Amino acid sequence: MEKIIKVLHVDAGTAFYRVERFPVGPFWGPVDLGLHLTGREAGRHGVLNFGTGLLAGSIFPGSNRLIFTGHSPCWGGFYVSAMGGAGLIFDDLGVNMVSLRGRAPSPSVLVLNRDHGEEVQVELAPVDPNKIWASAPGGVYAMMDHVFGRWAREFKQTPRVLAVGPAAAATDFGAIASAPYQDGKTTHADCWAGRGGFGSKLYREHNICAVIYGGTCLDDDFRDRAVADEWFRQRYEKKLAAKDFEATTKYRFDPKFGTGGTFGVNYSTLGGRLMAFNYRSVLWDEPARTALNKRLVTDHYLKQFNEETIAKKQQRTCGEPCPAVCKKLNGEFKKDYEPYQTMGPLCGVFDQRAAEKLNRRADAAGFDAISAGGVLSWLMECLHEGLLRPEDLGVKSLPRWDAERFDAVADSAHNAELGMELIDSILASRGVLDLSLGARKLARRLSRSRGAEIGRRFVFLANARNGWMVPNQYWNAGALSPMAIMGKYYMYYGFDFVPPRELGRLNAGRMIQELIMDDLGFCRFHRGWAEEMAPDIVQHIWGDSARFLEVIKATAGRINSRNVAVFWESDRNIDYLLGFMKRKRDVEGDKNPELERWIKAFEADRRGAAIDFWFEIRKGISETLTTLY
Amino acid sequence: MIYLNGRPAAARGGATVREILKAAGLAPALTVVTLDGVFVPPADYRKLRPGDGARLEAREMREGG
Repeated sequence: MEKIIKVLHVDAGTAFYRVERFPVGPFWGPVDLGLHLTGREAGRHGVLNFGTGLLAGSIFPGSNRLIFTGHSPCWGGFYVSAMGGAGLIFDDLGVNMVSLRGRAPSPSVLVLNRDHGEEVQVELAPVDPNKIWASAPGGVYAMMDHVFGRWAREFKQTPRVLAVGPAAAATDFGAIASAPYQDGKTTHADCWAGRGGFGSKLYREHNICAVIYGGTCLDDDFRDRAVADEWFRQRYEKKLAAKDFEATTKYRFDPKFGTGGTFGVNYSTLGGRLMAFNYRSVLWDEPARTALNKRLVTDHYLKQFNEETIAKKQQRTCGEPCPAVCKKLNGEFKKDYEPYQTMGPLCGVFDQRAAEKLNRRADAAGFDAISAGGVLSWLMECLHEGLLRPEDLGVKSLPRWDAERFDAVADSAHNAELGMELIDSILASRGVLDLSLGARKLARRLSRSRGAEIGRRFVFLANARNGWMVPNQYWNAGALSPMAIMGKYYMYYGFDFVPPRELGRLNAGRMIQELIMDDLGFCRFHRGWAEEMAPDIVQHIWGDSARFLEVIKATAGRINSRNVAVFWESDRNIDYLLGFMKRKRDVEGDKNPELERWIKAFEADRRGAAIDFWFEIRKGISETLTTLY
Repeated sequence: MIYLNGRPAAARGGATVREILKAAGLAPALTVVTLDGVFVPPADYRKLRPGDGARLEAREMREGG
């Protein structure tokens, strides 16, 4: 097995490249090494790293994530973003990671090709991204098609393309997209490194609008199924494939709920925890929320999904062989919970046709879809409340947000149309919509010039001076935690009330577990066995799981040492937290005296209690991720 | 006696974290555990045997991404 990690350094400014080797032991994967390279080059170069874990190409399902690391333009700190399946073809390059620095003189495509034992061939080819983005099928999809069409024939095996869209040029939260190809044609199971704005980083800092990579290099991947089956038998009394099939039930089809995928299972279980209309629902009473959920989600939005996607088994993988088949589709539209939540109920969209159009527009533009939905819903509420006028935002209408008289089809279509106009306005910087430096900066500017009520309505996590992130779409305190990396699952997102100090400890513990997965390039949809088995697998193959876990804990500590989380800047964040706690007490009957004490503290001094709560979480994080000698 | 979420656990003395969770009907792979306030990694569920008076908090994360 591999005892070294090979990093291909590419300078986009000069096309100079070289390979650097790191020993396994002090380094284990794309996160710890990405953090090292980011820190080593800080002050000299901004670097964007992307690579696989040591298990890429192995027989373990879910082990082919492509992991991106670097300083995030929108978060304002070190970030980790993972893309499904794209590591399988990357593994054919015969390197573990690419570390990109420098800026190409003009917008370019980076071509990485390797023919067996030869060196990786590196080429930077200038292109006109605006022309490509404007061509059919538009945006990132056009970029992927153009690059594949132009270069794929130069590869001996089907390559893979990473692409950005116009959002990468206009904002700090552009994502990176990649779709698997089958029989020379793109599939609709596009995969994303969505969070963290690495598309913006790739384009704005390095002037790279796409990367095409592939090769025929064969390396020494772990492929011994009989041995792996024996490890799994010892632990689970099941073979690897059987255990993985069991552990990925939710993402494939969960018979308990009669649905599958994150969209199906989450909406089947949300009930009164539904968040809609830019989180205004957290201020409603439970009957109003459950009535909305029943009428517009269960009986329409979810029903459509189950009939069109689940019943017809429209599902695919991310590109690697995997029993989770987590990509749930309706024709060309892929459906995940969080984008279809933020550009769904959060924007006042409860109909699949409307949500498909809105999500497609955001995806084609190449946005981090979760953040895009959070920004759109905030702007819609500002329009709805008369805080901003349509002409301020370069749109023609107001949203239809009357929950009681909401027409699931017509009003959703109207709101989706407005959302698409807003996306076009953001890309063209119409009116006040300059998001080039991010939504937090925009909120600050508008709050100063047009009134604080605008900023009070934007739910986001603040980091450092200008960093921001729309939270994960789970109504709990964990989603608003002051972790060093937020917007992914480096936190505890259970729905029970956990006293904040303990929540901080749980967040930190979960971060370590998630880092194990990311550093090995494992998909978290396989965490039902992978979290538990990962140290064993490392021990069996590399003989030093203790060192691996030590590096993971050190990595968590080092990431946390850069933790510059800022206390919530939006009053709606406090509504979100207080609403969650009151619901726990009043609806779910949680009699925890700590819960009661916090609610009373918030009622007596809302802002003071919020600061105390926030710092209590932070204490729990710090005491877990800091070593006291 | 071991306490699970504030109540006496159903599992017998000397049980592992995993056995305690299973006896309570919880799915270990989806459950986040603290033992006396300290996070327990899932890889330790099979080997860690909480002592008498230990307080286990177990929280299932069924939903989520």
